[in-house]
Amino acid sequence: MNVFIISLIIILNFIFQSTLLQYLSIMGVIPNTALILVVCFSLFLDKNKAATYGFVTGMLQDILYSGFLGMYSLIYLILGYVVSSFSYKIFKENIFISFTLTGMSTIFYILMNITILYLFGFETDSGYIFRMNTLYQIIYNAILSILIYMYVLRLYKRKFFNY
Amino acid sequence: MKKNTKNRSLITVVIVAIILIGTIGYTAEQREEITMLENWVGGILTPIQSVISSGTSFVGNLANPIVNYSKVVRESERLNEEVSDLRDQLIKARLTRDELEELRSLKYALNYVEEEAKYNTKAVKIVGKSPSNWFDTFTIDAGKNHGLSVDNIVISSNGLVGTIYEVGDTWAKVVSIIDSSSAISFQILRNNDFKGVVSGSIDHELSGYLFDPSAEVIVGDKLITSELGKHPKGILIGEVTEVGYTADRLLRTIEVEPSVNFRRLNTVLVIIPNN
Repeated sequence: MNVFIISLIIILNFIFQSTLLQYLSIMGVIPNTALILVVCFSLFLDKNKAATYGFVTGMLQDILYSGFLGMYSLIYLILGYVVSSFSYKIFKENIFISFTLTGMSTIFYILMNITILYLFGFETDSGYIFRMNTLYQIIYNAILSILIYMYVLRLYKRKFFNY
Repeated sequence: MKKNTKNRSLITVVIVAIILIGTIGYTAEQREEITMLENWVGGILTPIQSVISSGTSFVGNLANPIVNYSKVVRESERLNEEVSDLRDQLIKARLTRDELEELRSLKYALNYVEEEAKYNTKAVKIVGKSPSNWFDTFTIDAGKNHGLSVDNIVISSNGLVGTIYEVGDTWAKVVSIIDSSSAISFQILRNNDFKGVVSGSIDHELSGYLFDPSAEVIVGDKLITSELGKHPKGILIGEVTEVGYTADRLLRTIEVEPSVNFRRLNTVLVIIPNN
């Protein structure tokens, strides 16, 4: 797949997420389209590309909106790599695969957030995982991922990912 | 051969992950300067974000009165009441002002040294907000080239918004007061003997405590910044919505509703100290 197009998708998504998406918050929760895209693309990319995709996606968020560098890069890097490693075992025609995977990834994302913040001495709250807020994030991401996955699957069928 | 490449990619990922953990540790403390790369990435992305967020807020401002018609009507009724209330206060304030002017002229007569203005302000636009549900940071479209520096205070017409955390040449990162890393020392407007600290949280709510356990604080009290912290004195923070005690009953705790609506913020003012 074209490196140029993939970079463009990363940047456009980042801009979209920090501007327009802020208006689409439900119950104070903004869906994480970056995470959804990492999960959906990783299913079709090889491990190296998936890890790189995750890394660059996280780096942008780190640079512009984090107090410190590396947290989101690390999370998305691992996420991309792991999802891609399992991708050959997964039946990709089933749309609900993205629903399940994104839900699980969101939990992983939040757990990593809590762990990293805790390890480096930032204020954090281990009870956050049991809050309603977390549940909303998981549901919102998982539902939105179905729409995005349908589109990515169509790209895949048009041989978009052949390189 | 195949096994070899598989291992190699795993090793690369592990190495990058370790480097990233190192970077987190290295940048965990607030830095004076950001790297070239960060400056450059921000410099390219913020103008694009700026155009899109202006467009979005323009459309939003057009659509909002139509969608929220009944809300707007209620809002205007409330504002009308507030105007008549403020008119009353204005008359009282005018009387006090006359008195103050008299006293000031007396001060000139006694040859007092006049204090110089300590601050400049600069109006900036918010270009994008953090996509994370955890942190509450945003970027603005001005940076070092416009005279901004780390730790400058950011306010809006309604009150305190946040503090500048990092500056690039043409952009800056602001941490808002409801972010979990923020802490502000405040005093109660009604009685400035009562001081304390409020901090943000992961849920983007402001809460804090008062130093004096016997302080009389009631729901509806307004909080302003005190001169104890790095903020200039007298900026409105918010209103007390709940009062309680800590478990050991040693401290008065409060919940605070910020006076600024962080969801609908487009333009803010940066306070730049003069020197």
